[in-house]
Amino acid sequence: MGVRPQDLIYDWNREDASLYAGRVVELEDETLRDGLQSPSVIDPEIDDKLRIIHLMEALGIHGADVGLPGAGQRNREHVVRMCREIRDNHMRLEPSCAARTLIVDIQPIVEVSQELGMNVEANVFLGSSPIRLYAEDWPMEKLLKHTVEAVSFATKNGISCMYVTEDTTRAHPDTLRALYTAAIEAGARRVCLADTVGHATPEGVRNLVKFIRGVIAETGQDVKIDWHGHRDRALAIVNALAAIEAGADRIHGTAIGVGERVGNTPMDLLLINLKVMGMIDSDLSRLKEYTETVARATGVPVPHNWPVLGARAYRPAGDAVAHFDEAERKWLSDCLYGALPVTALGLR
Amino acid sequence: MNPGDHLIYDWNRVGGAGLSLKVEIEDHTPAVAPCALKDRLKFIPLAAAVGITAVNVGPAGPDATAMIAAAREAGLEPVVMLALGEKFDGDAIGEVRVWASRLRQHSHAFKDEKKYLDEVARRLDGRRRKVILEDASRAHPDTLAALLRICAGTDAVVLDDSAGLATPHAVRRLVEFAREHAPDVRIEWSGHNERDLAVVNCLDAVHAGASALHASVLSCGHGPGLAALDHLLVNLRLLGYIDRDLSRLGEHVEAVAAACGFQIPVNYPVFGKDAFRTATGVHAAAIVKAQAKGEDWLADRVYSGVPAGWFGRSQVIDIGPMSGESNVVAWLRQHGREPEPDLVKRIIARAKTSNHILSVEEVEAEIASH
Repeated sequence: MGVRPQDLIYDWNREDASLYAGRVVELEDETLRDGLQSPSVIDPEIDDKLRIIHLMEALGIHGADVGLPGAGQRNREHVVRMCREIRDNHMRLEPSCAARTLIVDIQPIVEVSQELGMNVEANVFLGSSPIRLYAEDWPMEKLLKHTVEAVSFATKNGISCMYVTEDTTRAHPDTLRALYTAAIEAGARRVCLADTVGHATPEGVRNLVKFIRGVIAETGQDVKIDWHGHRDRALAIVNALAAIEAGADRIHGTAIGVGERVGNTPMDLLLINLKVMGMIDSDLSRLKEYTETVARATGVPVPHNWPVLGARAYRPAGDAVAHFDEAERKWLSDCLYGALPVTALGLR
Repeated sequence: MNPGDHLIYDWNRVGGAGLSLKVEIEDHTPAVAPCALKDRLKFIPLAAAVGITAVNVGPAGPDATAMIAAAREAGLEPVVMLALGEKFDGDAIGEVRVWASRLRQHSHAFKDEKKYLDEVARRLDGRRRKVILEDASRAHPDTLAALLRICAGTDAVVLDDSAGLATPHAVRRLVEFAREHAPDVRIEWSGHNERDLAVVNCLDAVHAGASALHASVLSCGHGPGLAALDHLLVNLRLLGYIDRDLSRLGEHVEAVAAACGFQIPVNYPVFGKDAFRTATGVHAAAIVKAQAKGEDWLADRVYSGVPAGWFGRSQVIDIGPMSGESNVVAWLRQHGREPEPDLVKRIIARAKTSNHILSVEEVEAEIASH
């Protein structure tokens, strides 16, 4: 019997397993909502959006934010079509839509839900940081009023509600405690911590998630925590991992990280990391199709050195393994210069 | 202290983060950027301008000799790459590559680790040498401990995550292990970006006690490349670990991109075209209101985790399908036009039917038709 990889590789990551033991993580795909707020994207035609929805399903992604139907007629029509596709194909993918904490934004989501006879979660968002409140001249009373009205309207109309605080990573704990408590008492069963401006470090993420877990515990309700990160400091993937480690239940991301400014947590790289860590068991063989479809449909190309999936990302072992027999050459090629088992992942 | 720091509650600093740490950076860009020598020589003063302390010039040879001279002239420490046992007497530190993992030893036909370690000990001279432990993140602790003992007396040991495998927790374990086994040796960290963790791994290496970090502009290097030096500097400054002027960092990034024929992705953090652009109504509204308060600091921070002004850039408001009227008002004012209510309504109506951000020409066409 020849030499095996496990005989030659010592994994310094393996102690990480204890940090994630027993954790189950879900994924929410924001490509077709927050992703489309990139200044450089073309809003895809509906056929491409439906292809992307099917690819999300194939990759084992759990939820998809499919738009902001309150933003206009085209947006609403696309939302209805995508939700119908999800319903008619009995997908596991759970649809949601974004809305400001205004009835005028939530009403269209309720209407879509009622028209199709399915739950479409309302992701209602509101600025929460002192800098935002100062710039907008928003008093705390106004935030609380909007929070309670929005969440109550959604839940009373029979749709589930995720309450999102924008700029959470720069918000004061007293503000967050008051807002989340009000939202949960009004019926929110999922809250989302948004690193809207890409400010957070992993340490900041852990501090924040731990604090919010405490706030939720004080309410006595069963409320899930979502993490929504951005890439401004090139820390989005590690922040997502830190959020999971600290207790977040669901992570948001977009294909190739498309999104406002420099975009969101890249869903493709998150999937690869989670797969390598053993936290998901999804079939990733269509991952390249997912990123390439989004790249083509939005007009945002995959960077040449994008990890794993970029045109120049692969480092061939070439001559370095030429002297080995075929069996050994095969596994050495996969792991000698790159740590990810890309062949085993179905990515090459 | 910034004028509006009280307006930001910084969760990153809760619990004692934000310590003042000393860290140096070795810039590998001249060694790995796929471009001509004349261009790589231009990178060296640009690295000096943003406070880099050492520059890697690649393998010994005529190109390295020219870059060593340029580095000395710019006040940087040059580092030349050497194979084990290779002689070099030039005016630079030699960085000697050693296979730390049994996988790498195996692929280079070293089947007997003890013999390999003996050879390393015999052929490693201690004169102005760093030792780079290639594939350290997959190396057995016994092998690492032996190599660290052999490296006593060298200028530094570089722990190299050559395959881009390590997580931040693993980086800390590795650096702490190295410090424990080689307490008198300077520890450095070099990592690849296969998992999009290279920048944060550098930060964790510093937290664990590494003295220097290896990186390259725009992650130049094989595959996904090394940690992005540009993003590393941004993070080190945001964390308060360095306090240097980064206003020429963008020039450095653009010079490397131009010389190598790279297109900087529009969504490349800090230096991409879209890094400080928004067309979203609620976010543009916040920036406009901040500007109306006459506070530049506020306008640059209310919707940006990285201040555009540090890099000679500014916040840009565009008009697209997700915009509100405040986007249009701001755009018209930025372009010296009066935001008449009817014109604003006309442009926002056009934007709502568009599938993209309106170009200057498209907005101008609406103005002309008004």
